[in-house]
Amino acid sequence: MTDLKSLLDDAAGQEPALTDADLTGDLDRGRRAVRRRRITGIGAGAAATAAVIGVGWALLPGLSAANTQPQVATTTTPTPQPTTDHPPGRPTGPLPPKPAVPVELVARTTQFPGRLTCDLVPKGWTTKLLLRGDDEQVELSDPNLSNPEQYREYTYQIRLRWATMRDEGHGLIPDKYSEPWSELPHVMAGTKEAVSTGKSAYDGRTEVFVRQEKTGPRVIVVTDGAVNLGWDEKTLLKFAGSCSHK
Amino acid sequence: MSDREAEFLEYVSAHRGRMLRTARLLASGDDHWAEDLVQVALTKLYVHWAKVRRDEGAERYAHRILVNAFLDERKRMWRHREATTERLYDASPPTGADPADRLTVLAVLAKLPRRQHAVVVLRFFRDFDVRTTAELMGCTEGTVKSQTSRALATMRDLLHEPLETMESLR
Repeated sequence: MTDLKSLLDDAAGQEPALTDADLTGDLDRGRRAVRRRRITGIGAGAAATAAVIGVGWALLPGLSAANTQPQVATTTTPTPQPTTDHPPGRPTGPLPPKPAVPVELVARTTQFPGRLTCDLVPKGWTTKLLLRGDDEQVELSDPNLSNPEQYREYTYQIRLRWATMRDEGHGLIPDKYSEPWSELPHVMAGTKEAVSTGKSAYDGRTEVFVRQEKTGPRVIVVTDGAVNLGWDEKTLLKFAGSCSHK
Repeated sequence: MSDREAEFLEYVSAHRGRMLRTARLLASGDDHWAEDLVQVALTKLYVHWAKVRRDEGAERYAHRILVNAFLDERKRMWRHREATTERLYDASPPTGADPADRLTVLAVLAKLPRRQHAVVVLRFFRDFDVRTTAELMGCTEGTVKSQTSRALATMRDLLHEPLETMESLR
């Protein structure tokens, strides 16, 4: 009989000697993280203040000489920024052709291969199971797109993944973010609450985190970089909101 | 240096080594990844130090972050590395046990699904009970039990030997 505890204890190796450099590094990283959080907070606060001032300016009569017509007050929600660092350099390679008319979103007629499923799908697109289990991932792509490998990765497919928000003691946090769900700007994906990264300036992808229960940690993450869909965010949210886990 | 920082460093001095050993098992022997996990956990611990000390205790929080960073990183489509400092981490292999045995155990851990992998490390290396493990992993006690059972079955098959786990006492 082998004692598992001993096996693991041996495999973990000996406790390394702690150096001043370790301590300094840990402290520096902590200080930098606090600074980043403060800067992000100031940035978000400034954007919100600007939006409030903008609305006030538009609504107060007589403040602007040119303001003779009713003005539509618009506010913008600051796009949440994922915390993931990207490797340097943008992705390269050709993009698939953009359709003249966006691909239609239609009711699903065939079963998805795993437990993730969507009631609405891009017309004519097919599904493929990439990963089974707790982290199930499904890919949707156009079977009629010839030789898709020639195109830049992630520019001709939509991916769904089943994910769990992490609990760090101050609220549930979607992966790629450092702020809790309750503090992120929300959008609606169908009838479900969601968080959208907006279109990435880096690779053009949009990620939408759709919460599956009001208080639970589970989300479906929809990643869309498909140029050949020609979708806007409204269509993507409609699609994402139709997805669920069986 | 503030009192808060002095307190944080005191904690790091006492616990960093043990955290790194836990992280080595989670990372299946990848010392660079293990160091990343520890750095992620300690950075978040520093950021939330006041709240963590007040509410749930630093050690529990640090373990939760360590495990979550591990679970989170393995499901990402790409891996995010901590920013390096001017000092390069020396990933020389740990000394002590028979290297062949060590590699075998680490290879077996690497073959386990990530949640089973984390359950084994938390329960049988860190000696957390089912309830604490469930809290750290954000799942139910039933899930911890079933993951434990599956993980042990897989490990027995892969190691070709029975395992004494003191399971009946847990």
